[in-house]
Amino acid sequence: MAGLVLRRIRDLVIVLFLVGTAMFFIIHLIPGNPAIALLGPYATQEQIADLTASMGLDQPLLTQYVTWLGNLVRGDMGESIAFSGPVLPVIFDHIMPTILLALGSTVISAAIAVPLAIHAAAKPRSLWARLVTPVTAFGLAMPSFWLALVLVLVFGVIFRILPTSGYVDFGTDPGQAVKYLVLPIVVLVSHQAALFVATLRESMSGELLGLYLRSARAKGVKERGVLYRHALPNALLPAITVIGSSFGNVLGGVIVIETVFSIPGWGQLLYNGITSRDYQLIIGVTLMIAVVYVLVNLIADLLYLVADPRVRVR
Amino acid sequence: MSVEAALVKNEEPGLVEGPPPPKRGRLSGWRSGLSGLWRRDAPAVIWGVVLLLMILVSAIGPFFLQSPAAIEPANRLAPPSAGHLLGTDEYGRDLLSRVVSAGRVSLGLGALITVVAVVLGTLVGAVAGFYERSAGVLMRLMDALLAFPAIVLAIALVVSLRSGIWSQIIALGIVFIPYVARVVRSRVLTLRERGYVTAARAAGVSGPRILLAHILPNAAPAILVQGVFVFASALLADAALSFLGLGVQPPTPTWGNMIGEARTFITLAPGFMIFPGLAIVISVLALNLVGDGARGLIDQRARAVLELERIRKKQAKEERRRRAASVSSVD
Repeated sequence: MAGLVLRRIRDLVIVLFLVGTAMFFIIHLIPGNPAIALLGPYATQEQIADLTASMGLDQPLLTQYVTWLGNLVRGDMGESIAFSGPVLPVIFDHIMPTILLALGSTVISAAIAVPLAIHAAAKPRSLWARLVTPVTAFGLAMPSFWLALVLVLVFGVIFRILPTSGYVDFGTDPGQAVKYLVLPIVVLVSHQAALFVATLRESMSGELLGLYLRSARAKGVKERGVLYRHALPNALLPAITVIGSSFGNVLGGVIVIETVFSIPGWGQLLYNGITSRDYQLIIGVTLMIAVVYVLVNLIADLLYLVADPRVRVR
Repeated sequence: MSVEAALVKNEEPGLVEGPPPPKRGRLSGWRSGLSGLWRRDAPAVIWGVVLLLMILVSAIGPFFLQSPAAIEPANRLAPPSAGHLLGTDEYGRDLLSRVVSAGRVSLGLGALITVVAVVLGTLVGAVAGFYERSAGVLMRLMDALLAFPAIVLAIALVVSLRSGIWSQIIALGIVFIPYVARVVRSRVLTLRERGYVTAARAAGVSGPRILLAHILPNAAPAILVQGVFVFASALLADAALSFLGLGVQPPTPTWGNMIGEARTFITLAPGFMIFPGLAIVISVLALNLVGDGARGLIDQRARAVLELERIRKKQAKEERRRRAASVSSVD
């Protein structure tokens, strides 16, 4: 088990190393001197030469790469142009909204999806079971930014009951903070819950064929207990992996809809980085997103190990 | 040779000989074309027709509608009317013809992205599955691509590559390579253990030829199904990129950039934002449901093969019993 964990962590480091290297070279191979882009059209030759030298851009690419990698290992992701300061603190300043949205919608989606999926699997002829396929298919087909705008139109413009853009910190005013988070989370949940319901229903239907449920019923376990205590844990196993990898979708979704709702998280940071050609910031945010995503998947894999002793043996 | 030929035949789902399956409705359906499809999965057929209609309208619609670029300054952000069935945008351009010609761009881009992803993904997956030594490196590379949420990787690549339609196609194509490569690899891993591959090897067929002529054709259905899902995801990712202003630039309309433009006007002209979005929803929904249907079809073939094997075993058993009975009666 410990070996398995170590191997997974080694793989993770390799993957992140590959990701960082690829990003470095792609971005540095773009023709054009970032110093010129930075200083604008009115810069003198000397200013450009100075900045090129101070950014280390006159060094051979390999030297630049080694320096960059060395700095990265020490936790230095370079300087952001737009924020005129080191990248890492800027990224940490913007971490809360993104993590809050991603985690919040994952938890809410799971809470909604479990009973719905169980009901649909247990009573395949009920109205809900017949509706579940079209409803989840619809949830999965909607572009998140479009749904966001439709909700803004309905709740922000027509009914005027919810704020449509901005973000309030939980520390300053929790009630207000929740109000601002409702619409973004509904958007994320509509996609994620649909995915969970679809996956969980399938694995649950498979579990319901298991003979151990008959044994449980024969022992006199109530139907609720049969479904939730006996079948659900087994059905959740494949779902853990899906929840882990759907976290990437959620992060991606957060990135896009943060720009719709003007939420100051990583999405807006990335978007600002792109519009101001702040490459260090772009690399930094992208790498951090990859780190979070890979870590979440690692946790999901470990949870799987904890939940299913059969995997540990192998 | 004839023994090997028989082996090969047994391995092929479509070529299994033996008694016709007993229950018509369930087993023989996949042989009898459209009516069988209809009986098996009517929704998938309906959504297939919807999909074909979307493609057809996007392909030839622009020839019948007014120009998507014709501006009518007096008639800005108009609600739907007889002259403009879906209303007009902020320059008074006809929304119907813009949604239709955006469909041509969006669906076309989606298709090209899918082709890039499927071709490269098949290559990677097939090599990684067939040549074990390459698997470590190739699949680690795929993991590196999967370490990003799709849209974030797409954003990073589009920003890094020079802007333009081709870099967008390549960027999104790369994003979806691992999703194809994984499916292909797992198919190749199963297929290469089949008897007909051993037979081909014994007959002296070269590795690449076995891969191309014997394994890939059998992996094709799974690749196609995955391709349909990749198409759907590519449409969504492409729409998100265009919406953020990182994709195809206006005035060329795409569904994504139309929604991006319409954002400013949602109070004045809600239709401007809603119709392109509906077009995306319908296309993605149709693709996903057709993909589900196709996947069911593949599974049913697998199931049909299993069923046939079961029947054949049963018959062999009966045959043996009968023979035993006749032998004993002679004695």
